[in-house]
Amino acid sequence: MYELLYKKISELITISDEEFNFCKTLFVPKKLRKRQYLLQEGEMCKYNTFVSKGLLRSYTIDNKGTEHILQFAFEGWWIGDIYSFITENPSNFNIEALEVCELLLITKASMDILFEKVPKFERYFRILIQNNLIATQRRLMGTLSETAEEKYTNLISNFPGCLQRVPQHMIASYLGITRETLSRIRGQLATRK
Amino acid sequence: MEAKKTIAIIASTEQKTTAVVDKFGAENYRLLLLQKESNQLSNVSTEIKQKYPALEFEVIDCLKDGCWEADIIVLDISCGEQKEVAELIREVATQKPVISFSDHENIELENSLKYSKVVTVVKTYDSNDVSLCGKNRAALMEVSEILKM
Repeated sequence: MYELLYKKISELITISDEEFNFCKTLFVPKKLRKRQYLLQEGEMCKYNTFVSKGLLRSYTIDNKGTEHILQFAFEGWWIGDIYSFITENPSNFNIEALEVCELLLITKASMDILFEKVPKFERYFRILIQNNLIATQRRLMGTLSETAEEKYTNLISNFPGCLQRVPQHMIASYLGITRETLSRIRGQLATRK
Repeated sequence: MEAKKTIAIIASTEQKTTAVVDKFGAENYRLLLLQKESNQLSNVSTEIKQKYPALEFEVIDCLKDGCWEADIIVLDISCGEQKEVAELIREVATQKPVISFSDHENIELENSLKYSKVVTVVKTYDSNDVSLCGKNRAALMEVSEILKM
């Protein structure tokens, strides 16, 4: 249940068994079935969530009823709505399980306890936030300046497993293009090979 | 809209299971009725379907899996069963509210599930009132809200 979390933490900081055992006592283990929600729009995001197994997506729905996918979270990733988590305001996002998921949830209060007792976790989360900032900046620049084909090829090179696990219409929504455009790009790329 | 919370219920008899379901059946929860043996709760299941047609509930054979899915765990079991149940669910009950119905304050359960938020609902002698016992103030508040006390 905690093996992947330990592996991911150990990639960034060195922790003892005792420190990790303490860390484990602060997480809420949660299993979600496919299509169940971790968070729904209007609700406060109380947890920062580590994905031990499975796949989730976070998305919003605009006034016309169209879904816009912000993020997919695979095994070893974190997901949540940082705005709602930090400010305690209601979230604009929905977070849904696309597969059966095994998750580890931590509240802000538990994170504060963790930082106080094992300060090196501040370094771990600082690096996570840095990485997230870089990814967000890249995604924003991609949205502003890349062609639909560039967005698609970047997605499959960054997340090779994505095509097997995520339905086509969700990939189109993540890239901000229509299903028809996505099919056209896939067709063109297949002919070029 | 808040995501529907899941409550896992472990009770030692069919009557106790029905009594716990009656506390939450009309509310907006998803209930998981956990049984140690198959078909143990089949009669209860039929009864609940008739009594609460809109209730989302399911009977599950594995105590650990049910508690893993749950946001809140409710126990109405005897002291003798407590140790075994605590062993089975400990790993997946961390930081979750565990509401235990009992006739006395349950220090043993608090010690067995020391990383969970255990709150005991104690029935007051000679009255229908109940009181809540537990070490964690936040958990006491949370459970009092869940039970609408």
